Amino acid sequence: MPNALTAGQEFNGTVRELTMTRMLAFSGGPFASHGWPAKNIHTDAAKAVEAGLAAPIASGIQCEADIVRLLLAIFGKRWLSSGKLHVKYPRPVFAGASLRPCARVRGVQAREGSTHVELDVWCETLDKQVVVVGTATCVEPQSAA
Amino acid sequence: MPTTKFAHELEPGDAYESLEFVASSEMNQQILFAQEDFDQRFTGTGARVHPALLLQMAANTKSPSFRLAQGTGSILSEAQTEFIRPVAVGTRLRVDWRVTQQYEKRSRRYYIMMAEIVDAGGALVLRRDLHLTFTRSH
Repeated sequence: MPNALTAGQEFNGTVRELTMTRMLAFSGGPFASHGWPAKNIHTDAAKAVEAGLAAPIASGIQCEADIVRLLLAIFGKRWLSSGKLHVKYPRPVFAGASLRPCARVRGVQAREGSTHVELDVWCETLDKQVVVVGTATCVEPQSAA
Repeated sequence: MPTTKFAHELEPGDAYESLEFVASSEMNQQILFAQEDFDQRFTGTGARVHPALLLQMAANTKSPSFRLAQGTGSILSEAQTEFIRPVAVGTRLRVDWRVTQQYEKRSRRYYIMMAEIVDAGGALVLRRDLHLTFTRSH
């Protein structure tokens, strides 16, 4: 698939609501653990307030994982063995936000028998507030393309 | 020797105690539910571990050594990740953490903690550099 990619091409993933239920599942520890969910700034209002937040915020990793999902859709299994991702988390995400992962191809280069694809990636709310932003690269052997 | 320092006190060279775990189908299913991602790659016979589970288990907070001092909070500001090999559900994995660098930005101290996940044969599965800083409540 990377050989078919061209600079400027954009991918918009599916919009998903980051519900409190999903946040608890991600950040509350194993479902089977005693006293689930674990109390932390991602799962518990009191802990969030203690940390100076208005309400629990989603783990940045959970939002980053939405970008990984989009990259898996673009590159397939190759992403799991040659994907690189560099992200920052510019703003917090509160429960109930709807997020869309996005990617735009920066460039496609043939190099040493492989195709290197570089992309800008980000995850945004419906009002275009970027909550995760960065770059991704994936290498595909040319013979496999 | 794993450090016993509080998280905000760590310096380059300090290492956390490693974590060994089996990437069980229960853990994987919980992540699939959290991510609403039921792609067939991650379900059924020969299922792979969802990459979000690897990202989550690479967090500094997962080490048995992780300790926050009273009134402090840990913030992940940036992360660089390499996905090196796919992992089958049921695989025993180990996570190692070590502080590799520190720097200051806008009068705030950060350090970079490298997390590496290896399988039972010692093969590297994922490498992740976590840029961490700490808050203090008053």
